[in-house]
Amino acid sequence: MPPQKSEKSETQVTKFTLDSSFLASILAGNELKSRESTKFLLKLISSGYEIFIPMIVLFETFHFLRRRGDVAGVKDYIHFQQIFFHSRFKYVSNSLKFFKFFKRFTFLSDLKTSDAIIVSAALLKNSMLITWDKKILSTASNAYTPEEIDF
Amino acid sequence: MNFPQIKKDLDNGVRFKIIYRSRPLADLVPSDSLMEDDDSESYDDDFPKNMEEFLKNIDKYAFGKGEPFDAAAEIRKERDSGY
Repeated sequence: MPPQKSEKSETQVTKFTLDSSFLASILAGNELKSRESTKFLLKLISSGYEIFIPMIVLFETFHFLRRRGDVAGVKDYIHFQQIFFHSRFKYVSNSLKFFKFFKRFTFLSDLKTSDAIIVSAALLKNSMLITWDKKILSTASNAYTPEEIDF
Repeated sequence: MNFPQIKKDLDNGVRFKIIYRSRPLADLVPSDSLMEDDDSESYDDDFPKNMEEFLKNIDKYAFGKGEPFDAAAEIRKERDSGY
């Protein structure tokens, strides 16, 4: 049975878009939410749900971990690439087609550019945005923490 | 640089864009650039090819080491300090 949003609505969801705060927490094993995030992604993968990653999230996650020194050197780059080249992940490019969709959302004006791109990428894919980011969670109605999802 | 020719071009209305570089562009690109041939890069056979295997053994394969931290808070700080 598809998972349901536990609080915001009872809509069944089969597609998920992942934010950098969620992905970084998995890849950095010493992150506070690492275990919960890993367990959640494992459920998504094993259950066969569609998983989207906005292209800006891929860049941000990599750059964030590199700036922290967690991803350092060619071997880490190769491992990072092997993870994100996995066929289960589908990417949302910053294309002109996406921009045409993006510019309709005036209600995203309170968000920074990268936040607004990520939230609208999830909307474009008619998916639930998974994030630990408090600002996105308080602004976007399609954003949830893994804790809010009942499988 | 051919200054007489530049003066002639300017007199004829040609517009120039002057680009100043303190270093040649080639110096800024690392010699082991990953840009060139990503797909043919060496593949680590010891690293899990299967995502489930990777996640189940995350303690072994995760990148982060050291003190616990809050990724969401740190990423938020970066986003708010940027555009």
